[in-house]
Amino acid sequence: MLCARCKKKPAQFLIKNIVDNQVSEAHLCLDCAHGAAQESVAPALAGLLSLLGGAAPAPREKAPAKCASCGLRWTDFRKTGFLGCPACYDCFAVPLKGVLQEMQGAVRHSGKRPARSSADLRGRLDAALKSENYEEAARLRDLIRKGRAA
Amino acid sequence: MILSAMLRVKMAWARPTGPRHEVVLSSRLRLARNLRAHPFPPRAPAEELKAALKAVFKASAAAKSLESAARLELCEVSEVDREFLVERRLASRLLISEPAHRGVVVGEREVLSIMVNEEDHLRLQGIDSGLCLEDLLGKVSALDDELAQTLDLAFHPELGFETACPTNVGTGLRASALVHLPGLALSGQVNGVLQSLGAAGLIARGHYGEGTKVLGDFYQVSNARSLGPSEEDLVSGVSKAVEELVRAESKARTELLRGLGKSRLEDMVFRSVGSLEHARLMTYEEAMQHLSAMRLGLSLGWELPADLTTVNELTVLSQPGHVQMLAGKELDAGDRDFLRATLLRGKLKS
Ligand SMILES: [Zn+2]
Ligand SMILES: [Zn+2]
Repeated sequence: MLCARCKKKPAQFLIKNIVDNQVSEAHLCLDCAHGAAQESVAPALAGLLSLLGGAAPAPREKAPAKCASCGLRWTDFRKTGFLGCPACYDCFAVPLKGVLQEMQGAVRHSGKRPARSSADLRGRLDAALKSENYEEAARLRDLIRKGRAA
Repeated sequence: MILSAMLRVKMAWARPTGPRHEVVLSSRLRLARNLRAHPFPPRAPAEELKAALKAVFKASAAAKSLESAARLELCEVSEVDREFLVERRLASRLLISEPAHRGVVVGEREVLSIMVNEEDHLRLQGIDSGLCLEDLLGKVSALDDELAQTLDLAFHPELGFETACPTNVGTGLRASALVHLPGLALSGQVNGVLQSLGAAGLIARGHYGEGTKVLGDFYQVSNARSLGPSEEDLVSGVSKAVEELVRAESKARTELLRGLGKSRLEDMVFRSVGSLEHARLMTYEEAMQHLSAMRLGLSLGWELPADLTTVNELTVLSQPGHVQMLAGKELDAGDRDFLRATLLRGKLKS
């Protein structure tokens, strides 16, 4: 498929862009996708697209083909710049780390954490244990521990 | 809620009272947040979007910082209303492009608001007059804390708040200032100055930009990164750069007043005043150009037939959606230009 804008280079991305105040989706080549992101949707996305379109870090053997939770494939991400669900950050942790290092210059968050009253967390932990939802219980216990550490 | 009632309420960000308002029209700060239990909006089926919208509306109703807020489902308001919300900076074009299961929560004086199911489930935002990013961070962060009491937010122990696009992961923060740079534009320095911001890890772009058109010499400056530095550090980076811009712009304005430049500047400003006072048809782009010139004249202390409050208000009211809202119906471009010119003439005479 050819790029919908320049009609010369092969389309590589599926990008939402704004033309005359209308949002439309178009298959674009790297240059045109970069331009579209730059002028309308999100300038930060332009940098990500260059990265994904260029010598993009491909998932190494360790990374699964698709997200176990939402079914997103790494190739879908490379086309749009969007992940599918919170679990994608774990499924694609390895290739994402490379992307983040390039784009954000960092791979570790140092800002705030979700504020949640520990009483509320404890209540939910009890409920999870009672309903034998051990996975959720482990997650909540983890949250409580981290809350204390933070 | 009838949106046209909002026309009578003045948005906090349009008052000319904030710090550095002679150059900085307004500041905006947003935090992107997502619910752990649902796919991100770009990939979520209708029922997931519906559930997320319901959860966010419910949580926002319990938040103290959004007391007496209005909650709007976008599919329940008209197209003119949605355009109005975009011009009011309460919704994005992306949000209104697919109204189903999208919504906004609008707090008092439109300082705090939430966009629901845009790129992320929640985009908490604060907008106010002048350069006030630190203050906005406090307010938006407090709202975030309140919502986190009832919502299970997607948070990664290493990467921070998880967002649909990794350009926002970590803090989910974007701090931006809307700056008016006619002095730098007239003296041909604006591109150079803005490019130097890029080197400092900031993004600068023309405001209300459709394509490459910059309206009325308004520019938006914001942080490019969201991961690594803390919220406070990101905000102070933008604030410092904007302070620097304010100094450069003020210097450019003073220099323009020297020698021959003064009559040229006066000529430009008073021609704009003449057009605003007498034109019978005016496009939005032309109105912005003249209002920008008037804003410059006022900041130099000149006596003009409207004050900064009125000029700020007119930059908002001149937008196509607002003109249609005033008319109470959809208008074609010619009728809008007529009504806009009439509105501007009326406001300048009083
Ligand atoms: Zn192309
Ligand atoms: Zn996923």
